[in-house]
Amino acid sequence: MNSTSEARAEGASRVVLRTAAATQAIVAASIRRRNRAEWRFRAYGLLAVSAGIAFVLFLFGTIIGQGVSVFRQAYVELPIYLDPQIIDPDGTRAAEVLQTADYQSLIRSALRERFPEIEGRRNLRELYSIISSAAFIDLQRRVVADPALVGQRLRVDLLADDAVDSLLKGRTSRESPEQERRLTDQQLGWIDALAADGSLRLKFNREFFGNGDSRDPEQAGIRGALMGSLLTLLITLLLSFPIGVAAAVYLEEFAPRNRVTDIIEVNINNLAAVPSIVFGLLGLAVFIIFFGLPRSAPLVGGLVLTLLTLPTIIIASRAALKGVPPSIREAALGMGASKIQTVAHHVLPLALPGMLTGTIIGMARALGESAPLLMIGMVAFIVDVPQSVFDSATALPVQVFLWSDLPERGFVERTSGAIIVLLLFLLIMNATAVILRNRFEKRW
Amino acid sequence: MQTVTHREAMNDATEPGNDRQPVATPAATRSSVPLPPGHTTVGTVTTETPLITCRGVNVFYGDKQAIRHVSIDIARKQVLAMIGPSGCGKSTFLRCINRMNDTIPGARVEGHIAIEGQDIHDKSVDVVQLRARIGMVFQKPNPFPKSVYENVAYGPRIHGLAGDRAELDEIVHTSLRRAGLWEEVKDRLQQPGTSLSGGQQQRLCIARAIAVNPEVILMDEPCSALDPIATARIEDLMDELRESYAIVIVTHSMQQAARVSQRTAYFHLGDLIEVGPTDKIFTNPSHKLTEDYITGRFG
Repeated sequence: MNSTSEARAEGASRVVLRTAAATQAIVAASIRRRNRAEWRFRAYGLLAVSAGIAFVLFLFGTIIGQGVSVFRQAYVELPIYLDPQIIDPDGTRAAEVLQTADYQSLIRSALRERFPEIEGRRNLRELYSIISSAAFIDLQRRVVADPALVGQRLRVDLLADDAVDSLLKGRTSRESPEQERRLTDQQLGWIDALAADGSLRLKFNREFFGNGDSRDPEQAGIRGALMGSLLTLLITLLLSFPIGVAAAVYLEEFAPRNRVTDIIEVNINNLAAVPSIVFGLLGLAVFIIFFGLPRSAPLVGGLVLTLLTLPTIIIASRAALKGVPPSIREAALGMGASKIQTVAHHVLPLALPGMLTGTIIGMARALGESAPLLMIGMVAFIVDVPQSVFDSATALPVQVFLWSDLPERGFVERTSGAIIVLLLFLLIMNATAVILRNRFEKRW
Repeated sequence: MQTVTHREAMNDATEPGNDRQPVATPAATRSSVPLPPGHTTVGTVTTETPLITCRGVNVFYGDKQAIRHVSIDIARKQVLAMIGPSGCGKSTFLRCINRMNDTIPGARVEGHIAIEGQDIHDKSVDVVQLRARIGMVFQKPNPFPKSVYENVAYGPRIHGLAGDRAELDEIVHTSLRRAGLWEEVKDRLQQPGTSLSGGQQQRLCIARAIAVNPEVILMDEPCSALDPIATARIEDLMDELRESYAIVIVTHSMQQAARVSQRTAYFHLGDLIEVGPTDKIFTNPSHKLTEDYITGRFG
């Protein structure tokens, strides 16, 4: 024992006896190594960040490149004579008559008027197909809304066929052989003539924002999906915020720390990681099959997304409550405030910005969710814009999913357009969360 | 260690004190509440005018015992200073008096604490009412992140002390004046309390505490986060407040204890070692540990 302690003392003294210069040399060598390691680490970090930015730019580039053109659509402006003989020969002006009138033939006669030289059934059919087969819907809507228009001559923007639209946007080529094109040479001639006098132009795409889904790409819009998403999110917000905050407050401020609350906590954390499609399955089993709620309805979608966002909101709210300094609680309790007064007057106001931020982030996640909605039937082809939470509806991400399956050029464009709208909403929600956090976060 | 609970101790206490307590004064024998057996504190723990009596108080955090068998009286219109090295249980004991230890999970308080003869752990005592009687000022100034006015008005508001707005204004005004803060904040009552300086914040906390008209004010190292000037103001304030309240202050500064208090209690590793008049503790302590601490041999 004695000898070992001596040896240790000797070893220690050898280190101490090293000259200052020798020590400096050792340190200098290690500093070079440390600096290199630091530089390498920075380079890796920079590489990772640049890769991330590159992917994001690529994603946004392709989506915006493909989708931004959807906001404009080809329309043919033609004077249309709203012939009372055709619309309403009996002069009753009854809504039902105006609704069922043959507006298609009005459009056709306007086209014949514009190109009087064209003859023959085949040629005329080619001429008519420049205009969308659904163009009359807008005309019909206007006349029904204002029966006084009957008998007048109106300049109307008629929705062009999607083949014309994609030609104008330069997405289809004129050079390929005629048989491989959707437009014949003589149709191209008429299109050029219409474009030359300014009646065929790209204008703001009112169909995209005003219509529900359609089989015709030029008619298909996101309004139905947008309304479906908003109604679904409304239900989700109304349920998940109060329930989530109440659960978080109870768990954080009132619940005793014991095995039961530990189990609850572990379960909440696990629920946050459960794949969303499982929640969809749960919703199908519980809300639709057991409780018999309507299929495809935003109500059920909202309930399912509530289950999905609750863990997120509870976890964020608990973190916000934990962030309130204990000194505030002590101050209030020391004043003789009861537990509930302490929470309601002091803790909750301070934690609210954090809770709202968590809720908005949870809502943003719910807005982008499609898988659970597929399970409860919100994936149906629905033309009508939903008016209530009980109507059949679809949601924006599901609409994206549906359109992405379709082969027409117009749907490719609409898929990206819907993604742009979706991303815009997500951006707005996240920005709101950041602003809320910065504005209302109290410092103490 | 001490297996006898306080209630048994009360019943068995035919003989107050024990042989290891050499300085039992006649005042101690006159005290209404007898001392439990196993009492080892040197000096006089009892007073002529006790407002709060503590007998055989034990505090446990889980399995760990934080303070052992503390018995002491708190007198009216007097400042009691509690000194001792860090972790000796002074703050823990202070928090027993207004039951703030209730809020700490795993904390357990044993023993008998009574205010004017009423056991504070009795079922009939509401902790909210108790804390309205026993105000507290904390180590770090902790005003609510609300206006100066709202900070002081909070207590009277929740306890319903003010009938109308004018009365509330009056309470806020008086409390701020008594806390020596009125002149500095009278023009900015609507500004956040957190915008004041550290010393002002602490006086705001004192104003907030006295706004509910308590009988006792507990102060847990109220000046440890303040500069000497702010500290001096608070010490002056304590001297004035002593006219109306019983004050218990925990402090790390022996000079402060000597300046503001009339009685001093020395804690060491969870034991109450010695209690006595402040001048005696600082000039002629009876216990070896007290003397070592006072003379700066440790702590």
